[in-house]
Amino acid sequence: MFFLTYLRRELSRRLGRTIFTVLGFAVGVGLVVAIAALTSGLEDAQGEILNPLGSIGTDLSVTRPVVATTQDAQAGQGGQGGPGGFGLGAGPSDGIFIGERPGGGGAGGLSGEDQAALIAENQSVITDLSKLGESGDQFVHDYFLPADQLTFPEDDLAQVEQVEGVAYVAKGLTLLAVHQEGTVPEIVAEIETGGEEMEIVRDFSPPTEAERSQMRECFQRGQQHGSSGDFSVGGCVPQRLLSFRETITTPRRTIREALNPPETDIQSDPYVIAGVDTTNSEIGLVTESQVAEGKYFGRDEDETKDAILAASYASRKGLDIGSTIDLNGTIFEVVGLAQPPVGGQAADVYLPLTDLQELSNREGRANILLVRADDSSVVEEVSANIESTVTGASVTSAADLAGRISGSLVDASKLSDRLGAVLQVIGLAFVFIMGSLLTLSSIAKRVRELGTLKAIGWGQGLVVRQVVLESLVLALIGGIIGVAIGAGVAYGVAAYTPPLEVTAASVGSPAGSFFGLGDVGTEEVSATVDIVAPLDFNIMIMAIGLALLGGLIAGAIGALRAARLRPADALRNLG
Amino acid sequence: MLELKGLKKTYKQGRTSINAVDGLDLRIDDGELVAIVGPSGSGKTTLLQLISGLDRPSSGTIHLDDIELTSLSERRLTKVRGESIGFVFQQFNLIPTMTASENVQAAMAPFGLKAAERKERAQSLLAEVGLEDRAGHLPTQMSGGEQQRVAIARALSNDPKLVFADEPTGNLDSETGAEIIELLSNLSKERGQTVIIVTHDTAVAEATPRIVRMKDGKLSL
Ligand SMILES: Nc1ncnc2c1ncn2[C@@H]1O[C@H](COP(=O)(O)OP(=O)(O)OP(=O)(O)O)[C@@H](O)[C@H]1O
Ligand SMILES: [Mg+2]
Repeated sequence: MFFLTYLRRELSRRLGRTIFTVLGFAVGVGLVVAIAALTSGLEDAQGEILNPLGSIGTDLSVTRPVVATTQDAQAGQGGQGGPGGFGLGAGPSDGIFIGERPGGGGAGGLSGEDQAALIAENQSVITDLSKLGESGDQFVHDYFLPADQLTFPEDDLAQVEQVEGVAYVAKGLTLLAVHQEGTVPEIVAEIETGGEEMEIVRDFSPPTEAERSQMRECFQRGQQHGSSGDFSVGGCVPQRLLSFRETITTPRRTIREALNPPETDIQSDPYVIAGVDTTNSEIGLVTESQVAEGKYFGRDEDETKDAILAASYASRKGLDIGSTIDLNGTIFEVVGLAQPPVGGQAADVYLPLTDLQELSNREGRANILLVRADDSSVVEEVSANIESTVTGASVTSAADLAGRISGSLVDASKLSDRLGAVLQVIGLAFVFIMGSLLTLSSIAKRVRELGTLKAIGWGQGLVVRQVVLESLVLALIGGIIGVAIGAGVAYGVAAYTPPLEVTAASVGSPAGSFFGLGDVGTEEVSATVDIVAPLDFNIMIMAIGLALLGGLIAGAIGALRAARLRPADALRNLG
Repeated sequence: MLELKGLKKTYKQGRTSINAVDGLDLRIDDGELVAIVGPSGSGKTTLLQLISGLDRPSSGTIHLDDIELTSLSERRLTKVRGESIGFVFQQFNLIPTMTASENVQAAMAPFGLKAAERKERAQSLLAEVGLEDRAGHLPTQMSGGEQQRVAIARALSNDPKLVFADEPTGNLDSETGAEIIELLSNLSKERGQTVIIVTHDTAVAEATPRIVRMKDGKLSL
C-alpha cells in the first residue's frame, strides 16, 4: 500500500509540521476534556454535599409551621401584662406565644384534640421550681420548648402516607430544649395559671449570635430574679422574633413558683433534640450511614436507652461513646456520634422517637415527616399533593434547601455551571478551528507537490484520500494526546485546588428555626470537599470526534481545492 | 504519432488577453527526439502543457494516436497522463519526503502494482539512470543532476509513449546538463520513445535531430 508509506513519510519527515498540527488538536481537545472533567467534578461535589435531604434518605420533608388561621392573628396582642409567672407569657410585650386576652374563644382552626396536644406541649415550658425539690437542693432539669412547628395529629401522618407517589414516611420530632442546673430557690408561692389565651408566635429568621448570647444571659438572670414574678422564658426572646399566629386557651391550674429567689447558680443551656423514627435506619432525622463513630439505635444488646450525639456537640460537652446523659431522670447511653449533612437536619442530641415523645409529653406526636417519593421524577408532584392534602403542611425539597447553602463550592459550582459550558463550547470550537486552519495551511504549502502527483497520473480521488487520511491521523494523534493532556490538567487542578468549602446554617427544622431561636445550641455546619475531576468518556470521544471532523472537513476542503487545480496551475504554484 | 491542429491558448489577464499559443499546427512521429526552442515568453511551456494534457487549449485539437486529448474527461486525461506520458521538470519536482526509490514508485502507485514488483522496477529504473546506489536517498541528500535523474527515472516508470522535458537542464551546470540530455536521447533511441525537450540551450538543441522554433505562440523558421 503505497499510500501508507507516503503517509508515514509525510508524518515522520515533516516532524515539525506534524508536531505543530498535533499540538493544535491536542491543546483544543485537552482544554475541552479538562474543563468537562472539572465541571462535572464540581457538579458531583455539589450533588453529593448539597443534597442534605438525600443524605437522610429523603426527597421531601413536611412540617407544620404555625400559620395564622384565624382572624385574630394580630401581632403584638400578647403583651398585655397580667399576673406573670415563671413561664408562659407575662409582662408587657414579652409573651412568647401567650396573649392574655380575657375571655378567649379557643383556638380557631384547630381540632379539640389537636388543641389539647398543643397545650400539653406548651405546658412543659413552665418552670415549676417546687417540683424540682426542696429549696436549696441541687437540681438538674431539661425543658422541652415547643418548636415553631406544630406537631401533626395522627390523622395527618396517615394522610401523608396515603398521598399518591409517597413511598415511605418517617416521623421525626425536633425540639429546642433548655438544660438547667442549679439550686432550687427558697421562696415559693402558689400561683393560679391558665385560662390565658395563647397566641402562637414565630418568626422565621434565626437570631444572631449576639441575640443568642443575650437570651442565654437572660435565662440566667431570670432564674436569679424570678421571684419578682415578672420573668418569663419568653421575655428573653428579642421582640423582633415575636409575631402573632394562633390562639389557644390554656387550662387553669395552680403552680408553685419561686418568689424572690435568692441568687442562685442556675445555668441554662439550650440545645436541639430530635426524636428519630427508628423503623427504617436509612431514612430518618439521623440515618445509620451518618453515624460516623459508634452504632445506630438498637444495635447493642443492652437494656439501656440509646442516644446519638452530633459529633460537634459531643466534643463541646466532653461526651463520647459510652458516656451517659440524664434527661430528667432517664439515663441514656451515647451509642453513636453522627456527622450531620451540610444543610441537613442537624440536632445536637438524637433519641428514638418514642423516648423523646415520652420525655417531652408528646406521645404519638411528630413535627416533621420525612417523605421518600416513589421516584425522583415525581418529587414535585408529591410535594404539591401533600401540601394540598394536609392543611397547614409546608413541604421542603432538596432544591429548596440547596438555596440556603453557601460557600466556595457553591460559588465555584455556579461559576462552572455558567463558565464551564461556555468554555467547553470555546474549546470545541478551538479544536475545530485550530485543527482546520493548521490542516489547511499545511495543504496550501503542498499544492505544487500535489500538482506533481496529478501530473504523473494520480487522480483527484487518490490525492484527496492521501491528504484526508493524513489530516485524520494527525487529528487522531492530537486528540489522543489531548485527552492525556486534559486528564493531566484536570487531575493537576483538582489535586492543587484547595478544598472547597460549604456552609449552611444547620437546619434544625427545615422550614425555619426553633421557637424563634433558630439554631441555638447548634452551629453553622461547614464541610470541605476535595474536588475530584472524573473523566467523562463521552466528552473525550466527542472532543476526539470533533478533532477528527475538523481534520476531515479541512483535509477534504484543502485537498479538493488543490486536487481540482489543473496540474499546469498547480505546478506554477511557488509554495 | 502526435498531431496538433489549430492549437490555441489564450490567457486572460484582466482586460488584456495573451495568445500564448496562437493557432499552431504540428506533427511529431513516434520515436522522434524534438527540441522546442524560442525566446522567453514565446509559448514553449504553454505548448508543452497543452500537448501533455496538463492544461487545456482554448481551441484546436490534440491527437495522440487515435485519442483526441481535448475531448477527454479530467479522469480519463489523468489516466492517459499516468500511462502514456512522462514528465521531467526544470525544478525536478520530486516529493521531498520520499526517497529516490519512493519517488519513482509514486508514479506507479495508481496502477496497483505489488509492493515488491514496484520496488524492483524502481531499482532497475534508477540503475538505468545511474543511481542504483542512491535509492534510499532523500532529494535533499542528492545533487541537482542526481535529482533530475531520479525525475527521469520517474518519468519512465510506466514506460510511456511520450516524454516531455521542460528545460530539464535549466537548473544544472552545462556539463551535467549535457549528461541529462544524452541520457534522454539514449532512452529515446533504446526504448523508441518520443521525447520532446524545451530548451534555451542552443548546444542542447543542436544535439537533437529535430528543432521546432517558436515565436509569439507560433512556429517560426
Ligand atoms: N497562467 C498564465 N496566465 C497568464 N499568462 C500566462 C500564463 N502562463 C503563461 N502566460 C503568458 O503566456 C506567454 C507564454 O508563456 P510561456 O511560459 O509559455 O513562455 P516560455 O516560452 O515558456 O518562456 P520561458 O522561456 O521564459 O519559459 C507569456 O507571455 C506568459 O506571460
Ligand atoms: Mg517556459
